Amino acid sequence: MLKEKRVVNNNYSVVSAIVAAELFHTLKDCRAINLTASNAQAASLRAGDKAVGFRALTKFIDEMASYTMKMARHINRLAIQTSKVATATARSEMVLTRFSEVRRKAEGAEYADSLNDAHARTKAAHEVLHKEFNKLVGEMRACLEDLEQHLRSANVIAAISRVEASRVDVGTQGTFFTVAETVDTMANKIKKRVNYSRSLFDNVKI
Amino acid sequence: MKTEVLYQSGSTKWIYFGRDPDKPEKIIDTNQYMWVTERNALLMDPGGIELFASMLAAVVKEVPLEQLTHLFASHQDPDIISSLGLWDQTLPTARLHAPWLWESFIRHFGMNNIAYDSIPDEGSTLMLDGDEVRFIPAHYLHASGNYHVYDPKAKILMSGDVGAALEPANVSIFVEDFDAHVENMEYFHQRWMPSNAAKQDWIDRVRDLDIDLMCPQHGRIFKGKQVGLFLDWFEQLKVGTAISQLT
Repeated sequence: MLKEKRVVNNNYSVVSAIVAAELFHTLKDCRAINLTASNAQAASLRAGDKAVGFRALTKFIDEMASYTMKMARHINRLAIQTSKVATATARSEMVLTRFSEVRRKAEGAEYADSLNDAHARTKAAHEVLHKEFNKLVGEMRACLEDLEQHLRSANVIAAISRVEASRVDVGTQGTFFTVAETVDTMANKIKKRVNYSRSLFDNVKI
Repeated sequence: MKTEVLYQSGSTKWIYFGRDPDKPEKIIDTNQYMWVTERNALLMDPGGIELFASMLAAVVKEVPLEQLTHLFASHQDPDIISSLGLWDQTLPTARLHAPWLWESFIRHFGMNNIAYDSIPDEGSTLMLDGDEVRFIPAHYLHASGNYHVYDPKAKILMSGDVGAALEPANVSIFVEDFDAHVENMEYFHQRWMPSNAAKQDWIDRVRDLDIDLMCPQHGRIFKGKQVGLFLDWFEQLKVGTAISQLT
């Protein structure tokens, strides 16, 4: 995705699988932020009083990464579940399509009416799946939106990190600027993935 | 889809289904058979996904859907049972009789409702309203776990891929001239059947059965003396030829 490869697909099982993959990759980015936060905390302890402001920020960086990771895992699970329900829905749709064909071919057949129960049962099962599917998609979209909003704070944290980095000794500034840079880059990367995931849903109709 | 009653006695019927004119051109033509008893019916090798609509439409011309209580899959191939996922939603209380060896493979076609009745290696028997359904082992002909269905009362053997022929669509469903038919069967048996030992084992078993009709899953049905002619021909045929072609 990050190479700007855009997949246009109107199949929900495919979209859900892509979202699951995107969110899975996000976990790696989150782990990178966590690691950066730990390194930053160690560096700020070494830097002493001049890095007190930065030390406080590392807690926010760590929390932001942990929350993102938690949400990414949740959305990933939802996406996998959605993909499974989408597949079951598609299969059930296939049965209904075939039933229409059977109806046409069995027109006038002595026992054509005996298809009614099976047809009605399949229709009802399909409606249940469809409702479950809509619910999951709604939940997934809401989570993606929530995560996107949450990630906006990452850039703010990165900006404050830069300010705090400029206050420490010139000799150790590099470490702190790198932390700010990593938070910014990773957060933007995750945002791109989340944006992309959200956009995928715009191409499909429920 | 062509439908023909092969046997009828009392409430028991053997019905042939095949030569579906709606079949997509590039898929192999298949024969399906339904054994109807007083209150039940057993559909043998119900076919692939592409055949499902024609097959189901043909079934309800013969019996009410609720009477179709049993399915049989001789082995795991797609032309045999890839429609399972569709039958599973159509006949949720049905039972599928199929090789134990292929259970975890066949379930890949989608099976959440139908019950899987595993047939053991030595074969088994099912009673359908007093009719004795015998699942006869036919391992390695061609699948490694494979069965045929024998009706001792009607003297009919549903012989799966044994006796199959590759022919253009819309030919007769019965063998008319055995000698002329041999060329339609030869390549199929030599190429699809892997084991001469398994072939002989099956022939020895089947020679003990009293058979009036031998009904393969592809090609034409053998009647009366043609069954013996087929067994003699099959006995002298060397199978598994792809290996010798490689050397």
